[in-house]
Amino acid sequence: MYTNAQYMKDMNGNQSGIKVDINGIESFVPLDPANTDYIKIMALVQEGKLTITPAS
Amino acid sequence: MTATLNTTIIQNASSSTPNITLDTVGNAAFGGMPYGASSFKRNRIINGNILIDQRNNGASVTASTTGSDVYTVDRWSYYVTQASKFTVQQNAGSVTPPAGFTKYLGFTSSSAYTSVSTDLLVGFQWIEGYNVADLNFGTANAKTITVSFWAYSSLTGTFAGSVIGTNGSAFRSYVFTFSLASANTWTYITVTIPGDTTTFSYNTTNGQGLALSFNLGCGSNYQTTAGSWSSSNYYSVSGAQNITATSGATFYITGVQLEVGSVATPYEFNPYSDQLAQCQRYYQIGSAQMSSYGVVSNGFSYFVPLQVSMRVAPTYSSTFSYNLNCSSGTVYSASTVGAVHQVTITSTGQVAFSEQYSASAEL
Repeated sequence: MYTNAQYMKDMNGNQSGIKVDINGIESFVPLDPANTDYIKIMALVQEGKLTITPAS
Repeated sequence: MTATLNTTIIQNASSSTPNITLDTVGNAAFGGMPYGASSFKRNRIINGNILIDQRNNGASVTASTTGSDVYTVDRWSYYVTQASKFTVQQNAGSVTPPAGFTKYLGFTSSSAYTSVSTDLLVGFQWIEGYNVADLNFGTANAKTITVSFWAYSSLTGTFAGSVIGTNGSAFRSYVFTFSLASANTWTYITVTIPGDTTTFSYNTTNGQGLALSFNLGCGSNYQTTAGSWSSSNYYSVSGAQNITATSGATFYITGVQLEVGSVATPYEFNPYSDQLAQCQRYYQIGSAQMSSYGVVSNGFSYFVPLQVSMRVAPTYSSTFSYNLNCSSGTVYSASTVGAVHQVTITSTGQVAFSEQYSASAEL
């Protein structure tokens, strides 16, 4: 469900979100611990099922 | 036997002014404020009359995604452990809704599937914790609630639903049943549910407070006895109709209301604009269009405010159309009120693009 995850940076170089495909649709997930997608992504990362690559 | 009270003024014995004054043409003037068991708006369900369908605009959706909540018409979602056993659609089958309603939520079985014990196929709505905090669930002061709705099915017999709460790791649930005696006929259902007085940390802020669910095809692991609170997530009872067991079977609902008290009051209609705004706290769609001058390799950034403040910072999905000298659109630094959208400039000169986005802060 969540694939191709990569951190994003804002114009000041700060980490500002995660670009990720959700069911094949490119999406932008905020770093908000109450956001449902962020919660699921972090759970997958903790389980070793998803890796978030650093921002380019 | 009925009785009529013929009077003009109703006044507390210790008061010097009338509480209620009645005129001759049906009006009642209150000396103070009228209030009921709850001072809140009565209906805790949002989009209970299924008017708003921002995602699909009335199109049918196959329940193909397993293992996660998938939203269909606004605020309503499905959860399935087996893919593609039913479809979901606003006004599926195009039957005439009950009087006073124009829309309904329709589930239609795609095949004749026999659920196994571990199967969970339900349609439901999560209510945000803020909107049920006053119910005092999980405490000795828990309030009785009443669920009411119109239901319609091609099948007859006993159907099941449940009210569910979670603290993030454990569940509480109360399964109820209702009977549809006549096929393809709208039936008004009311169910009164005692408040949950067992100590439990229901969410009372911006998380998942209570869910109202309808069984579509649950296996035995998710069945229990109706009529009492349980320390697990149950959705149905043994013997209840699973519409997914019959190819083409239908189950439709509308006018869904969950309110405080033991009486089902008439469905609480909202102005369309209010109801849309309520839905937009959880999901909204929008667009932006830009034309400017840019320098190659730089980013062109702009802040797009949301139409309604959302429950949490939302997840964005955006479709960019790059008309001139730009590419690689992104959205970042999202908050409950908006986000920064950005494209990368591919050649120095005039830059033009448009964007359509959705923002989701669902429970």
